[in-house]
Amino acid sequence: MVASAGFGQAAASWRARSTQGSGRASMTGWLFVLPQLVLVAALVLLPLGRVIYLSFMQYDGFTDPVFIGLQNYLDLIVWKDFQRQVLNTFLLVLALPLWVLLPFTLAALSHDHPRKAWLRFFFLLPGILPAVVVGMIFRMVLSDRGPANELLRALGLPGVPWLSNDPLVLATVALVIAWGMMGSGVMFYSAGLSALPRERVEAAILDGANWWDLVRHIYWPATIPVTRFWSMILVLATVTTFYPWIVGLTRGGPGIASSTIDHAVFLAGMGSSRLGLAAAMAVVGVLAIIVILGLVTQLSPKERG
Amino acid sequence: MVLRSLGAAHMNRRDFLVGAAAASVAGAAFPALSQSGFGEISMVGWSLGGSANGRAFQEAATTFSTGGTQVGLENVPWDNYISVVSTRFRAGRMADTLQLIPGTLHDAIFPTLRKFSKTDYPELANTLTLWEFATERYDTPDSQVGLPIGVQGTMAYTNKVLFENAGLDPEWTPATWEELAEACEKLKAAGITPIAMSAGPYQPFFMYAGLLAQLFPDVQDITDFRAGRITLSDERFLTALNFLTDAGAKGWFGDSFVSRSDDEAEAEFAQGRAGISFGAVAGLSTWPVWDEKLGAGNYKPFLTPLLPGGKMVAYVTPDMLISESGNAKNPDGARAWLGYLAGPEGQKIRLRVGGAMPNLPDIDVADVTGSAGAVAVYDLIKGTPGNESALDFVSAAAGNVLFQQLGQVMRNGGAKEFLEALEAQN
Repeated sequence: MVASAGFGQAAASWRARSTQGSGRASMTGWLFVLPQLVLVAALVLLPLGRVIYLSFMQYDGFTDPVFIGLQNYLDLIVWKDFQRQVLNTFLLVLALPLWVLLPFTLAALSHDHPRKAWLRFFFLLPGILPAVVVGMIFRMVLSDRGPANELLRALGLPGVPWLSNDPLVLATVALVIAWGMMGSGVMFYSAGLSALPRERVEAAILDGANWWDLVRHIYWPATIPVTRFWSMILVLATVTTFYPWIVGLTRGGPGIASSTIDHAVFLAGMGSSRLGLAAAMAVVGVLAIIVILGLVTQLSPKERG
Repeated sequence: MVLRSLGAAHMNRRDFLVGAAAASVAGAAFPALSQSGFGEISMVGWSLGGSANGRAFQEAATTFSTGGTQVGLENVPWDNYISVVSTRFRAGRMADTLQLIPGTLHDAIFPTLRKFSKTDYPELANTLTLWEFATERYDTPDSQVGLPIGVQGTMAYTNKVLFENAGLDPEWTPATWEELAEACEKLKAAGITPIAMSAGPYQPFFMYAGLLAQLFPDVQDITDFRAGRITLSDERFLTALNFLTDAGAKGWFGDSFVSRSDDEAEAEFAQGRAGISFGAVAGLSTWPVWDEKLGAGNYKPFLTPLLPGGKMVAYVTPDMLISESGNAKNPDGARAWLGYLAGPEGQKIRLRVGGAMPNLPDIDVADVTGSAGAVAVYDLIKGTPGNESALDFVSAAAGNVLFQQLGQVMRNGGAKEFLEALEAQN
């Protein structure tokens, strides 16, 4: 009985100390993360909240915003141009396998090459140039009277309307972006392959694996986390940062055949002073990212147990 | 106009210091200007950088500075102009003066400007033209939001050499749409692209605007449109657009114009690969370019050929409006600077350096430019009534859609649906 009472007292004392200690620890933890929380709130949550707020407003940047409820969203639903811009964005995402496989292949090819540093530098070169500049260069190269078509004609082949045909122009955009983004992808995949234990590759070679076997059974499975990360970056870029490519290469044309959601946001917000509508477009863009990321996550290769 | 200045660089500190040094030297040579000064004033615009128009503003600022007033010019890319100006306004950092486009494109900015009357500029009130295009609204004639400077609008040009090669009289220009059709078919038969055209944003617009001015020739048309009494469902919009889609279908613009930028279309004409260019009075595809590339005397300007049922009215607007901010820190200096720019000295500098046609009578264009082409353009403008209808029929939002898609419609058709979609944006 006495022992029991003593044990109960001890347990109560331990619980009290523990709760007190946990509270202190908790407070200390919050203080550690407070600066980051403030930054996230200031740089992410507030702007995001402001965009959502403005999406319910009629706002030209000069006069006070006027609340119009869902009108901006209703306008977007019936506006055929915006429907096409959303469709273009989703169609561009279909190029994701190309944007992933091209840098993976180049990284795999250069992985054990004696001059791999030079090769990686060479692959990275397109990424050094600003996207809008690359777009403008390809605009000149691929125009109907540009060098690419003149070369085809010199060979007796018909010219290709790379930039003037709808929907071919979207494929052209996807190819140019594949070229421009290739370098960054190669870097990510090369880093992933560098982390691969050397013994595993040597063991496979001793077992008679050829290069294709290495790619299928070792390189590709080993870089699945890179593939998922790189895919996510590309999806985000498709909806939010491909605008410079579009401006440099096609300005969204012909007509709006290659215009995307971020290009639409720019036209409405910067060119037309319709900031409320542009904010609604941006919100649709965020929703598009969530949808596409969900699909990509479902379809992307899974890591082996 | 705006067209050559896209993406031009800001005036940097070095340029400013060089300008200031030149101004102090020039001060000795222009004692009248040196007698008074207004301190420092600022101007923001899309046409103040390294373009010809920008260089003209810089030279004007340097000369004006001899009066003791320093002018700081800040260039903003055209594509970002409205957003930059609105940001400055919200931050309370609007420049003293700014450049604007007449019509509805920049009317969101109008509430932030100082309104004034023509009589505030007595020396210009009866000489400067196009005042009516610089009012707050078209039916408020005495509420100016800016001074109109320069002349802009649709101007077509023939390549005389290619005309001769196609069996056409090189001194002849088409005056009606039928005559234009005849010229285009002969050029086509000779293997020459009849008209240098782009996918936009501006070249298709200039051609369309030239036709709209003929079908909506009266001031009342513009007033009615702004009051909502005329909409884009008016048959005349479709009529004018059908002429363009018909021209596209007949191959007058070549096969692949929808992949061409304005600059590329300009180059096509400048390199002697197209017989006609529908360019502008100033800025894009215009006489200073042709003087340099084709040679003076090898081209001939003409107005948009008359449509059946149309009235011979040219599409003419001020090149730009120059306005005073409603909360300018130096209002006296701002007014003096704007008056100088719109006056004979300022406009002569803009004509000589930037190729901008003056909206003042009695400017000796031949003396200032030495260009027969410039004189011909000036005479055509002075001898033909003009209006700015095309800048008023669409809001800024619809205007962007128009700029973006007009070229595509000219190739693929769908004019009626396009105008309906445009009306929804208005």
